[in-house]
Amino acid sequence: MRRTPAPASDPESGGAGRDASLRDEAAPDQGELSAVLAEAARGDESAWREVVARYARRVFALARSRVRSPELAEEVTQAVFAKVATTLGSGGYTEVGRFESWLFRIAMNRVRDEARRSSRHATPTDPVALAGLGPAAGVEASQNGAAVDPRALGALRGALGELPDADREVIELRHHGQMSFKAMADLLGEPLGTLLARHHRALRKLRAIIEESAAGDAAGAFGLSTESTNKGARP
Amino acid sequence: MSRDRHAHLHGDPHAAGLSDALDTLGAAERAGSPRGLEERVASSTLPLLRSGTGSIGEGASGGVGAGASEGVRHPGGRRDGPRRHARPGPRRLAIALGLGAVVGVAAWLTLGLPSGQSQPRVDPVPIAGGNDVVDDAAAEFEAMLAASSLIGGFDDRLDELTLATASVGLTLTDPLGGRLDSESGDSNSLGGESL
Repeated sequence: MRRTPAPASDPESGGAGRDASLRDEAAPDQGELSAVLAEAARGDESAWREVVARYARRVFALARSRVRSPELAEEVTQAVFAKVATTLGSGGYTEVGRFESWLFRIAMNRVRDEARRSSRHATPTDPVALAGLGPAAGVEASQNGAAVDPRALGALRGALGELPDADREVIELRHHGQMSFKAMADLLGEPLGTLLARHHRALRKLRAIIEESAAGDAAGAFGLSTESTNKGARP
Repeated sequence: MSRDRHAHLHGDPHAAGLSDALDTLGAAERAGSPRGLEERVASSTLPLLRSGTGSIGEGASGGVGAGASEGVRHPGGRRDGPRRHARPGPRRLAIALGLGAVVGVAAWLTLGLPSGQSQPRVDPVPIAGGNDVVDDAAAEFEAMLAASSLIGGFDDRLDELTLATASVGLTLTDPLGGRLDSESGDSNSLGGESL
């Protein structure tokens, strides 16, 4: 059976309520995903390819943010899907609407292991140098189509690296892994409200880091005004 | 960018801007994944899906192993397959060793103590200066009396205490408030009147 790989779930399709929209982010195509997983568990190749097509890049981006080496990030991605395939194939997983949480929990464990190993190696922290690293350097269009300064992306990567691990995980799961807040709450075992507050807090910390660093000059590319970025940064 | 996506930021424009920037960064990382990533991942893991066992994914750097037991709990509370079928050998061995230790201690307490042979003996440590070791309670008491007798006034003090005790006894032995005349020798008299 050949399927057209479905696009990653769009977390922006939401309702009218304030937090209700965030709670229902991942609701679309859950039924279809369950069917695809059931077929994949029976060994159907096209169904398995569809599962991989849905999630491989998201897992890769999550890993890439931590290990800063595309080769190693691909290894992590391979390992995550190997684990999923083994468990699915042996009947060790029953889909109850939480596949995404389970998949990204495996991914986070692998990423943590790799980050711990690679933390012994030095990593450049200069925003300009970071901007030149990795394949993302060539992608310079924001989501609304406007051009984005590659230096700003590099600055953002550098600031992300200075966040405490717990805050960084929330940011990376949300923005790199494209997870819904509901799936993240399942993964981290926290109430949705707590997780939303943690996300907001992590953003504030990240902004403070950007303001404190020389990279704050590039923050204007993200809509952070010069006033806000310089406010309270230095005497 | 959708306002719903930033609903939890309580109208914080800076946080919303940063969130959008992070979305852009995440999109850049996803778009920058190596060409053919999905194909390689799907092809290399398909045999695992069909066999349900095996171990792949150990790359050139040797950093990642897929066959290792996963410390991930299933969302429904079930454990992963390989853990479910783990052999309980070490656990049983530990229980057996614990039971053996308990039985051994119980046997030692039951059989060893009454005979008195298994109790460890500790030799008394001689006192520095060459004094004899006092190992008897009675002898120790005598030694204390002898030592106290050397202190001047001990016997006098003892006599005073004896007299005081006798006077108190005379005072308290009259139950009805009358003073007992020790000289009359009549302990049955009340209020000075003879019974």
